[in-house]
Amino acid sequence: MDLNTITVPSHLLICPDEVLLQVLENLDHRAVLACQAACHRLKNITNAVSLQYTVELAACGMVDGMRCQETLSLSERLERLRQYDAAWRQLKWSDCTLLPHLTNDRVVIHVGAYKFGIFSKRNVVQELPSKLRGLREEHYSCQSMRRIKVDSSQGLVVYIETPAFDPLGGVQYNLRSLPSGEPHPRAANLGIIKPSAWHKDHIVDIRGEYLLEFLQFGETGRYIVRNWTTGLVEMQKEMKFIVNGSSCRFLDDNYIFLDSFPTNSHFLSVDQRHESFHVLPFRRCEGSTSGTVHDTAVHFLLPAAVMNNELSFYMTTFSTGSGTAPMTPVHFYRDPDDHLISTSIRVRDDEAHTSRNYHFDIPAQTFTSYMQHNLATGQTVVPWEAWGPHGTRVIEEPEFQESVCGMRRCLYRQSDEGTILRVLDYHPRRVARALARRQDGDGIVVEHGAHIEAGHTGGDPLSTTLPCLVTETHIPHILGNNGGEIVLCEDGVVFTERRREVWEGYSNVLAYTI
Amino acid sequence: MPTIVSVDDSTVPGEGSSRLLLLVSSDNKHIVVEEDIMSRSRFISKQVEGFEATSQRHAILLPFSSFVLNKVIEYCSHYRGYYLLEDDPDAAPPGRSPVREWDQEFLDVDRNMLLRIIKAAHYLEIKSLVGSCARAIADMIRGKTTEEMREILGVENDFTPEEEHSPSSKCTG
Repeated sequence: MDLNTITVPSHLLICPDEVLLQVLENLDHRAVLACQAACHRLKNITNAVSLQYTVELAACGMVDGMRCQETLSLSERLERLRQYDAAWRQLKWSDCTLLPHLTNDRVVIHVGAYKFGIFSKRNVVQELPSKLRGLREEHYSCQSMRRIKVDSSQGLVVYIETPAFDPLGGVQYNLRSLPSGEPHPRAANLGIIKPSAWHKDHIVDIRGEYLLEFLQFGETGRYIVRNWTTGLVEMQKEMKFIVNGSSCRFLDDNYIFLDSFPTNSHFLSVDQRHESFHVLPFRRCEGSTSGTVHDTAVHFLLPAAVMNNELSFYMTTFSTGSGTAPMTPVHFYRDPDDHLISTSIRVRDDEAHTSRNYHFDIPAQTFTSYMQHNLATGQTVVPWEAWGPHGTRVIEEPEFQESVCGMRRCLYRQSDEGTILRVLDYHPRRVARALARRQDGDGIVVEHGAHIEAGHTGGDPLSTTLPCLVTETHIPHILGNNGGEIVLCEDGVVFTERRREVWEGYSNVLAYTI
Repeated sequence: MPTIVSVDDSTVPGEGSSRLLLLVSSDNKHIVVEEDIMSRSRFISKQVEGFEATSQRHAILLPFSSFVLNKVIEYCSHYRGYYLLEDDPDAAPPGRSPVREWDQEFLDVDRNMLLRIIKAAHYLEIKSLVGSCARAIADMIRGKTTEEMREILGVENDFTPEEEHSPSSKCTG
């Protein structure tokens, strides 16, 4: 008898618990939850701290940070994650830090950092502090800059420097390490990339190893995707009649998102207009390092109510996606694939001399999923009915000011006692969890987006179904007559209070962080 | 019944001065293997230390078939002389094991075999192999529903209907 040919039915439960745990530790949260529901023994194993951490990390919309020697144990990290999540649910900031600034200078806040200038000759970049994520207030100074972008999960700051007046546009991108200000260790050419001199304006976005540049000259815009670790250009595309490339960002690891809006739309028929979002792949075919990028763009058309009317104002705010290779020893990061695209549109009715503001909140994954489906079926134009009603939330809003970070958007308005801050959270897992728990005090669950009568615009009514969590809190400061701002960050909000008597300058810059 | 077999201390020509071990599988196959190939196994290393303490060498009985044992020996032979962090008893546990291409090809076997290899690797305390198998099994069940997972792993549903509908087991992913 040859034993080699006998197949004794074997199953996983012949293995001891520690082996099973090791298997499950390779899985993502979905598979862990599926195992949990399989049988008692697997359910008991999923109670292990490592697996609870995986599941709760996903439920909070976070991803794991770098493994480093000096950090906390897994159970301490889990504890911090729970505190972090609870603090966001109740908008309870554990810390209010007065950030240093000069009263006569402008402050620019980007997701994980802020910069302030000293009489515009030198800038100081400072990382925003967070107790729960172990971020200290590191700062350093640099040359004057025009723009700054931060990817805190990679410890990367990209800023555009303007060293001296140069008619050919002598600017350069500086790639620095966020905490130290030294050239970033993974950046090409000592952390400096000189883009083409052909430009008028720059927009930069970061995603993993890629840097997106938008250069404008006249009415033509050029989009360039470059690998910042090697300096090589991955994609380059020109588009005509671009009025403002204010919204070109990475959508995910493969696509960029544009809401380019042509300057000459008055002269074009409706079909030729570009009042739509474009999603464009930027990576070369898998496995090849040369050759062109397959460049089928998918156009997501906006609702008829908006399309048939003149858009007088059009602005898209993005939360920035971040990479997945963290440099600083922080324990968890916002999931880079969960980010929100937030667009406001003002529709003007010339006859009635009125206008209305519409606000579209769209998860980036909505585009990703519809785009994959449409690329597979060869359809490159997606009408609003196919993606909007289920994938977005449209609200008609008063003049709120707003800020976006991750899947959260915050709105704020002044009251006599201070500032009322409202945070809308669209994260699907956080919303699902709140619905499952039905906990009071966790904020109100909005089950459906508002139904908006858009009859006055001559178009169809807009109604959408994307749920979100709404939480309100009160900040005991007033932004000031000259309009300060509140910027939503990964660990809280930064409040800039303007001085009443001076147009430029701040009386306070406060970070309410976790 | 343990069979005491005296193993000749002679060296294998051209292969250095490694001594030989006699391994006996559950289907009673006798397999002779060089000691340093199997030194990756903590279990075997401890046995060898025992031999040295008592100056008596005997066959090592293993509770799995020769088919599985040969596979494990193939793995150990491939990594003979290589340092793998997971197998270093003094190194800190590295968490998830790294992806090794050779391992992926090596473990491209049927489900039953994979489960038997991981069990054998665990018995022999070869951490790198346990890690690679764990990764391979995880790849098999990733993206599957609970029902499919039960089938793949040969797991019985032992929940009562009430337990099954409790909110804690709901997947919200």
